[in-house]
Amino acid sequence: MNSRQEIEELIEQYVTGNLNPEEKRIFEKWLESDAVMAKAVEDHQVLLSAFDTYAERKALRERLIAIHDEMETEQFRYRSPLRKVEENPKSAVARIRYFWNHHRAATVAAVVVFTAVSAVLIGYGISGFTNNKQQSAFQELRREVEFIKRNQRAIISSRSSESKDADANVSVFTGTGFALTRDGYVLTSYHVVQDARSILLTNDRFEQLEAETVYADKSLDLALLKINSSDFIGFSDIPYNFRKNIADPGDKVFTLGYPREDLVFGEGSISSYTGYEGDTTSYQVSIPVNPGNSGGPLFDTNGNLLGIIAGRNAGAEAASFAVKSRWIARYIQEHDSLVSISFPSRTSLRGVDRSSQIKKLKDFVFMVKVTN
Amino acid sequence: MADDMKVLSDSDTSIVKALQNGDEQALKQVYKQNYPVVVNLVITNGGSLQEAKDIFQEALIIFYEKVREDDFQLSSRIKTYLYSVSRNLWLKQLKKKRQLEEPLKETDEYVEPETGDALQREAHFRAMHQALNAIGEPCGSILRDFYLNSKSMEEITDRYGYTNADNAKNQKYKCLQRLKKMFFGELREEGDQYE
Repeated sequence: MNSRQEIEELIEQYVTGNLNPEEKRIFEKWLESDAVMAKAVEDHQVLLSAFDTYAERKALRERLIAIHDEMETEQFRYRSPLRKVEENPKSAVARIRYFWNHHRAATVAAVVVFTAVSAVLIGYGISGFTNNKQQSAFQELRREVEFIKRNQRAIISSRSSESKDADANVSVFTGTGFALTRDGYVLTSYHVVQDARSILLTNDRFEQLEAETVYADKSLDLALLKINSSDFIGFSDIPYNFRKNIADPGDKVFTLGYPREDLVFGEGSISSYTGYEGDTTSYQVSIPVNPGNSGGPLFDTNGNLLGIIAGRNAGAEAASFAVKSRWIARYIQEHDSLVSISFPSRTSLRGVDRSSQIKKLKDFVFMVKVTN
Repeated sequence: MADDMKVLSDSDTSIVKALQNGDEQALKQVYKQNYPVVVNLVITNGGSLQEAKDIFQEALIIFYEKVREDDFQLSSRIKTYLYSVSRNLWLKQLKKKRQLEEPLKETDEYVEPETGDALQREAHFRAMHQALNAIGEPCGSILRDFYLNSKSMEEITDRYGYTNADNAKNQKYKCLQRLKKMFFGELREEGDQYE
């Protein structure tokens, strides 16, 4: 410790009111005769009050961000391009979403023109989703989606004014999910089960399992589901383990998911340590994914769980994003009173060829069907 | 017409009361009702939605802090106040970015807003935010733990694996010196840009 440090500590004690009366008196005498010292004290006061200001404003900002998100959720309930929409002939909303999913490119062009011509008109109607990383990704994409959504919204409101047919807007979304524990905890993406009225899990092995959301985290885009079907007696041992270290660009990876009724395998490699806009909670992955792939597990060649597919960059070929397994682990740890994870210490998937790996994995990957 | 004005100011008064009581619903209402006004302003004057959102939230924070001062008096409509503060903030930002090529287009009624020391507080907030983010680890975490999360030096000693409290103290001291330098540097920079 040097004298400079001692003086600083004394200043801090003085500013925070931790000197005794006698010390305080002597210290203040000193300040009267030493302008440099007085300035140092003043600076320290400014700094400490800036800490307080920072804490207060940060808390207030967080409240405002929450209000903003809530406002947007109310306005546009349908946000994710990777949550597949099953066509519902009764629903105009679903038809537009279907259109959107199948004619993305054309819509991009239309929207680019739209935004260029009349940015002003965009105004309030299509405010940004700044916290939705897998999709707000690119401004163009954001706009596209929002443009469509605006129309959707217009249609929702016009429909509801002409008819009160509540079912007209019931939609079915699908995504992917995978087992975390033998006793029926399943992980998927938050945006897949957002606003869900009911959740069903299906795959070749299990015809239909009812599930409910136990905990959802919007910022990490993760949702923990629990199977609650009365006839569900548990899975066999989970074959995969969490990969604890970070994967590197170039590492081969694969995913299993339900972009359609049957399980689809997709492979590629890690493209970047970070996801959209340098988001350090995700990887960028060169697997082409489609609506319905959200929530799918990302594995390395040894069958270790590396992440969970969260979204893609609609403006680029095969640029997908996956939330890293360490964040999944952290997320689960936060709720470990709930879930006791029982991954094997050695996976039975190491050194096995790909098709055998998939055979072992496929019973643990589900199509997540959501009605809302 | 006069009746309309009265109704509006009555509802403004009751919103202010609710905000003073910490009513979250009132805050939401103010947010939702006034956000479009500021989006319109910022977009009309060459900004993006993200920028509009930032400006609006900053203005709302200033308003909220003012409302919660003891001697607060509502001197204009809430909407006018928020518009006027946002407008000044955006103007400042345009000047800072040297993007102000033409006069600002007013999209609503402007009244010179009374902001008190709110702008200074904003400058402090920004400077602290920049400094804490730029300082790197372990300094950022140690300082946050000590000054924001009220952790004791003993807890910090344990948490960061220092062998004794003196080592932790030395580290904290060094970190704080660096932060001070960065904080006041940022503050000066902000000040210069606005002069």
